[in-house]
Amino acid sequence: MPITVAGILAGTSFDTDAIGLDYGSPFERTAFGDAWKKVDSDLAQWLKDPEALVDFDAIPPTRKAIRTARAIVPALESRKWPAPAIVVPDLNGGISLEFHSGTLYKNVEIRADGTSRLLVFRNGRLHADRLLRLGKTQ
Amino acid sequence: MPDGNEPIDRNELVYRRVCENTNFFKPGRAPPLSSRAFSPTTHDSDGISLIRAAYSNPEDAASGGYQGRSYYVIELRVSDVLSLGLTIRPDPLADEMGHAVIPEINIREMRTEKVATALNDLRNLEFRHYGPFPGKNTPPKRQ
Repeated sequence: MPITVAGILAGTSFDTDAIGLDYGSPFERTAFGDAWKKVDSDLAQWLKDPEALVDFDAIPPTRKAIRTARAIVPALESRKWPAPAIVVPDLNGGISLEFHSGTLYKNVEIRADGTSRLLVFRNGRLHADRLLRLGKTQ
Repeated sequence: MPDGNEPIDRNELVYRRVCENTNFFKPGRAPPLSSRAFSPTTHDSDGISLIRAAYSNPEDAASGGYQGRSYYVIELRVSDVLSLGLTIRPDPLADEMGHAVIPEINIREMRTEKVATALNDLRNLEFRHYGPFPGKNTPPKRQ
């Protein structure tokens, strides 16, 4: 059953402490916000020429996928997720946001049709695989 | 004389060609390699492509890509790939005798737990990188 971004982030398995980021100091807060701004700025650039992001025989991110990613970004940022270390096309019209912290690896997959999925790996093993849906905070 | 069909030895090395534009590999980034570097595309119904180092070198492996794009070449040990429970099958092509595939990572099973785990496992393997080098093939027209 799909659950909201807000819902999944409220779960104890996905709390921000698990990411291991302490963003308490002014410097860290600035860096945190700047990193997210860069992600959104990059995604905005992607809208201008998605085909430049992939090889000639791959499917570039759809505008729907890019717009969905830009809608998910503030939802994650507002819940104090650190910015993803990697934002890349998935070669099939979608986008992958990769979050890394020690043995924890989270991948937000945004497909060509805008549907989204969160994969969480702990110590290299798949720990959770959930559909995401943008919605109101629970 | 070898024709590319002989079984792949555990001690061999294989290359994975990665288009620079994708940012799947970025030197200096932490981590430098995205799991998407091993993602299947709609062309990969039989598995993602590798190139056997015994038949190529990094620059030649990259040149199999398209003009107008540059490519990094990720070098993996066959034994490491096999240790993940994956297989590598020879799949020689007319213009790439050392072509091989990982059949378990194919587009039909892209959304399965097995493939998701395999992509993450491959990303975590020890690797060397080369390039970027230019592709030399004529690009196809986008549909």
